[in-house]
Amino acid sequence: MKKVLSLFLMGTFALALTGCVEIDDTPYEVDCTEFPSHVDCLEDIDPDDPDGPGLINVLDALPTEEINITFWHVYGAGKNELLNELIDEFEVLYPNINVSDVSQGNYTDIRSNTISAITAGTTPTLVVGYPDHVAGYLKGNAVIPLDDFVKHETFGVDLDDFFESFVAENSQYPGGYMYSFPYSKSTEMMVYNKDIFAANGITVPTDGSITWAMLDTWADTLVDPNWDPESPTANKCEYLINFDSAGNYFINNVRMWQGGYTNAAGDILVNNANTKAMLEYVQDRFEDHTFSIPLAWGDSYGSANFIAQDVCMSVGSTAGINYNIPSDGAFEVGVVPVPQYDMDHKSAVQQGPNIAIMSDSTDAERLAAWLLIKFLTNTENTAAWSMDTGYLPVRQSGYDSQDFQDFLAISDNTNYLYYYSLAIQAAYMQNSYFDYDPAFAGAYTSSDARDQAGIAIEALFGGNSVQDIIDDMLVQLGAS
Amino acid sequence: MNKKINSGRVKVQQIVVGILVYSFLVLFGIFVLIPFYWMILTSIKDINQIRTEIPPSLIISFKQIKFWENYSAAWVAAPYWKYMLNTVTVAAISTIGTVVTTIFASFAFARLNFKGRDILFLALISTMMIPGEMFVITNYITVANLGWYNDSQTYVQALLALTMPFMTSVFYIFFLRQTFKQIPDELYLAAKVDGTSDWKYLWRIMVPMASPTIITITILNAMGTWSAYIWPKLVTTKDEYRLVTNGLREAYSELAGQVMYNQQMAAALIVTTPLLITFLFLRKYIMRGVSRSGIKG
Amino acid sequence: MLERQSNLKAWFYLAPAMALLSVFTFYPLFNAFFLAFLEDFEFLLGTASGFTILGNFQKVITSPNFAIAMKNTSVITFISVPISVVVALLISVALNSIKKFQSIFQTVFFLPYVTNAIAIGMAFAFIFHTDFGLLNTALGWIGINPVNWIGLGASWNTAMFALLVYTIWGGLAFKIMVFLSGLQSIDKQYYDAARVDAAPRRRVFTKITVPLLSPMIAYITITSFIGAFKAYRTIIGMFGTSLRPPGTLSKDSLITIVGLVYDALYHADATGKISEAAAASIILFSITLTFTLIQMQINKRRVHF
Repeated sequence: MKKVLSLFLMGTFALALTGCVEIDDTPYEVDCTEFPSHVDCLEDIDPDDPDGPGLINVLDALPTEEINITFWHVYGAGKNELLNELIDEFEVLYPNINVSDVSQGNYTDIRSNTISAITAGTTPTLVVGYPDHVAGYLKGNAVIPLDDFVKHETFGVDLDDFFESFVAENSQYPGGYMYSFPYSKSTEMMVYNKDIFAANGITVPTDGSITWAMLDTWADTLVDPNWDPESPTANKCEYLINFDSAGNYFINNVRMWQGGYTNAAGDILVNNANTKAMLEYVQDRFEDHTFSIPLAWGDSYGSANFIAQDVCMSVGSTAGINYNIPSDGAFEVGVVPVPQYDMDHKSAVQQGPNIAIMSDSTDAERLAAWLLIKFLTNTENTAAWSMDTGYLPVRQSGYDSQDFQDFLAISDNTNYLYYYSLAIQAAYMQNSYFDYDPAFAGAYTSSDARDQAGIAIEALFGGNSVQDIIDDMLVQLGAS
Repeated sequence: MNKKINSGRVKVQQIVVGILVYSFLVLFGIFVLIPFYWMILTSIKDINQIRTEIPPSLIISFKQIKFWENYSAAWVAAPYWKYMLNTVTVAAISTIGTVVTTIFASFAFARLNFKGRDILFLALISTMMIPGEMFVITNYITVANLGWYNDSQTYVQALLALTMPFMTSVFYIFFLRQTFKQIPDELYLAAKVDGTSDWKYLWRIMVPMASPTIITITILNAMGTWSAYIWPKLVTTKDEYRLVTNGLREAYSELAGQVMYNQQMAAALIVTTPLLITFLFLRKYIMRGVSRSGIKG
Repeated sequence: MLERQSNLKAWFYLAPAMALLSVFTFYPLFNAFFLAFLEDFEFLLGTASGFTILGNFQKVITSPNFAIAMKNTSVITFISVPISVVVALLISVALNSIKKFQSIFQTVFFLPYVTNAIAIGMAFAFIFHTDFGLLNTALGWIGINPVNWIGLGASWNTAMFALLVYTIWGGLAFKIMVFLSGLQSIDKQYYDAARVDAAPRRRVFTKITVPLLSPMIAYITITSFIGAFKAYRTIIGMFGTSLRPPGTLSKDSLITIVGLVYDALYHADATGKISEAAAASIILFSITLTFTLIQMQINKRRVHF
């Protein structure tokens, strides 16, 4: 039996060897006929050609036969009503295109399912994802650059209409080509308890000029050092300001402090004086209750404690604004841009998923997929998507459109869109200094770095020393 | 006289032991029940109560109950009817398959003597020692190669992809083999002497005697389908082919802000109900002891 | 032996299960083993630069969290399994011995199975809460000060204790179901005989119940050890994806070997990461197999088959 078993084993080995894996000990060289869009094959390409670099073949017209495309996203049942409506409209507009859209769960799920699909050769036509996902797919030559579509005279779009930071984020891949297109973008804003500030005679600037120094002065007045949760002091807070996302907090602070975080090559740059000085500064503010994170209350978001008036101000995603509004109208809420360390190095986090087209598709499918992207992000639809979800319009014309301006002008605070509108106005004020994390994929990805950044802030809150935190971060990201 | 005192003492002893046994069961029963109770409680609370109450209350007054609000909101969050129908279909197919293949294989391992039996059995057990996620990608590729996964996937193809990898289970083969081993050898030898074939012996004697285990396997396997999440999502190309847990997770995967815990728990309880009913229905068959005298002849 | 060898017949009975297992279990398993010996394997492209015998194993063993994962896996396995097996056995025997409320108790002990994972996480967060948790409240009654079990900056010790309670809880329902079904297969005649002899309960338990249930005890023990070596989901359930009490560094992490496998699988798009996942699985496999073989050796002497 042992013999049989070992024979079986060897047989399977041989099978696996011949069946799946190509062993090649010469350095890896891309077969440019098979993967013309691979970075290594881009020599004969003219990136500055106004008609597009010529990376992919764009059909002159949409074929008339039936085209089926699949679209993987993360908008589950109950949340995808508007998306379904838009897709239906698209199918009316292009009767020979059938879009089958499937939710893959959350961002982790969609990433791992797409990786599985790439290895099995069963990828969808379009997939929603973060830049580091796309950077990973690119390692398998599984996504196509969109530049030729973007610049196409018939099917192209005017990139100048899109917010600059969104375009830059989606052009950060090898060669500077757009392997993904901006779709659901969001940023952070700050809510504050207007009543408490008014009672203490403090005016909060609404034009985005709040600095950390101002926060220090306000904390002297507003934070009660002898806070008792059983009997909260009127018009005081336990903490001055809460930051919902510890990861964003670390990354954004580093930018404001001119410190190091990561770069596009995946180097971990946190071990430097400015980053450490920032962490020291933040830790002091944690201790004197100027700053806090939701962990202070054992939670993942600070909204419950903002509503309970334990904290006077709170920084969070524009898409989550409505969770910060007391349903009983206990106090009035103001919405402003995120406070800056100083006015010379402003930074606000820009985040949210983009859309990519997978390379395992025909020219007709690619064109149909691109037309869907173009449709979903056109002026009217990006505005509609924004008003429905709290994400930002991806183009200026969407922001300027009449519908959107009407939405921004809502002044009735009983309208459920009122706070969305305030949040987007605050967000828009930040758009000149939006910044994104450099995306990289590899043994460690940019999302690992982000996770570690969040863990670092939490550990800082937990009282660990700055050097221990930095050391741990370096070890965990394979950088020591 | 003496005997009377003795039986009195036995009675006292029995009562004391009884109290101890029940206290022990009640204590652990409470420990085991807390999360389930929590689930029911959360499902009927108001979301603001859940978010702001510190500490969370363990009792809820009748006035505060938001049963109808939460359950009706939960019910419309996903097409649960469709998902449950799919789940019942998949659970039925894979459970019947698992039970049949398991009975056969367990019989071979427990009763038949063949070359390499112990090595093969060990090989089977050792497959459990590899984390299941290592299998997923290869199986996904296999399913795609078999043609069960493609853009124009039919319901039958989806069912094949959902059930075929789960038509047998080492875990249950091991379980049933152990039960079969509990059945005394003499019965088998006696049957042999009577000229009963293995086939008849298996179905007439072993399967009825092992019925509590087989029922248990049925319940456990059905529950496995109920909580399956990663595989169904991976191998189905359309939302309408998916299973209840996919529906549950997707209805409540909040992208920003907080989760509606109350509705989520209400939805979880809604989809759990068929499982609970199945259990309550089959429960008595697990506890029905089989006495040997009953199956003679 | 029971009978002369019956190879053909045996394979007839084994065929359905073996056919399915070959395709969906053995084949992926060999595939996974194979991956562990490839050098710089590009999973998305299906190319590798060559073979390596120890390279991927070395990467796993020298990875920063390997030692922590080994420690956590061992602690979880060797503490939670013996306790949960004994507790489940006692509950099952008690449950089997009572007449009143038996069906209610049986249902109660089944309910963890159908409890939503998020509800379980929330309930345990409540049990172990520092300020108002059930456990600290109970400790307060006997004059013990509140302990920070799993809160901000909690220590590895207290977090591990909470995790063990959670793990034991999570394993009870299945074990009780198996023991109960096993108890039904014990011939009532043995108990009748014991009653006639007026044998004390403890003697009945050790001389009749345990020996006759020994195949089930062996099953539960072996599968529980295998399951505990693969612990991972319980940690996610209790501590989320950071796998540690909040506000702590990685030395307090509760990551396990399967945690390392997941981590590497998550990065399957990176060069060689899937081979590391395979190598970590093989390390786990070797440890588990060695331990299982020892257990079977012991069982051979003790188990009343």
